[in-house]
Amino acid sequence: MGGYGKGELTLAFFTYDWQIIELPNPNDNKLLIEYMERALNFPDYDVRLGAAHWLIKKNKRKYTESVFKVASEIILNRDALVKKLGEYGPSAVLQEAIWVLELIGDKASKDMIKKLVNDEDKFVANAAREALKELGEER
Amino acid sequence: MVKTLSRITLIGLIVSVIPLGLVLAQSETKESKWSLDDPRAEAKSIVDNFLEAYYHNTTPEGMGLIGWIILVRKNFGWLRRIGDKRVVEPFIELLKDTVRFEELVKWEGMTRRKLDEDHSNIAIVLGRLGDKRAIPALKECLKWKSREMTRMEAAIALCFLGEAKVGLPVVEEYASRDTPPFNSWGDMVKAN
Repeated sequence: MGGYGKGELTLAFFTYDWQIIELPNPNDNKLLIEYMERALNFPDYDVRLGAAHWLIKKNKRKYTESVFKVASEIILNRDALVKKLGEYGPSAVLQEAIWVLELIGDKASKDMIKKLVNDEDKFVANAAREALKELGEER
Repeated sequence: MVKTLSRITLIGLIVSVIPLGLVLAQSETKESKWSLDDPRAEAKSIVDNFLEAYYHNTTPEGMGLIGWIILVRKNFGWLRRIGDKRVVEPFIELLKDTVRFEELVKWEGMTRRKLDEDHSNIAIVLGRLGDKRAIPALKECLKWKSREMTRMEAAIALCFLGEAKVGLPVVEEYASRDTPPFNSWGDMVKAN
């Protein structure tokens, strides 16, 4: 990525410190935005959340609804996550989904994060608590 | 007498130890300055070493060369910042050269998958250094279906070089798969 370096399909377009990379040519950048919009619906969780993260940083107002939908669907369909990624796979994906919701930071996102504060996976629960703390929701 | 002798020994010891200590302290300071305070110099030095290995490689298998390529990849941010593009031409040559690294499979028992992964580092650097001379070689990589990681990184690199129209469809080809061949941390999750 500017940063990551290898194997990345949406994360390639971030710097190491999670700033989005935009392409210098306006026509290329338009293609990149369209790619990210399509990637929101791709089957792979990493790709989908990478696109969600990129788009919410690109234009929070425009993409709040679609990005919230992606993150909340992932959180609410844990069975599908386990089925695809196995017992230990969902942890990182759920933490990434929490991060995306934190970036949105509205009431609906906070409510969705709250569903995970007592999660059986300690890493997920901690990520949820930290996100809420960042959003000024001390429990 | 004994006292005088021991005093002389002590003074001698001090006289010889102090300069040694100073030299060691100085060399330590130099080293820490080189690696911690001046990443630009470190990046430049890595390129120097890569070029040395590239032009005067003593191992025909090129094992040392791959090590330097990986280090160049880790430092591309600094190289871009200081405008050091000395690797561009050799990297283009290496990207086109499918024979040099093939030797590694024979000599070092390296797997083709690992080879592809290492070769892809070259494509990454060429994209991030922003030198358009790399475009034809990167486009050529898009035809390499047997080297998927290099192909994918070449596609990403082309996006950074103003060729998103050519690169992005290939990126999307991988991203839209049910299980992409590589996860977001770069590990290959599916055999070619």
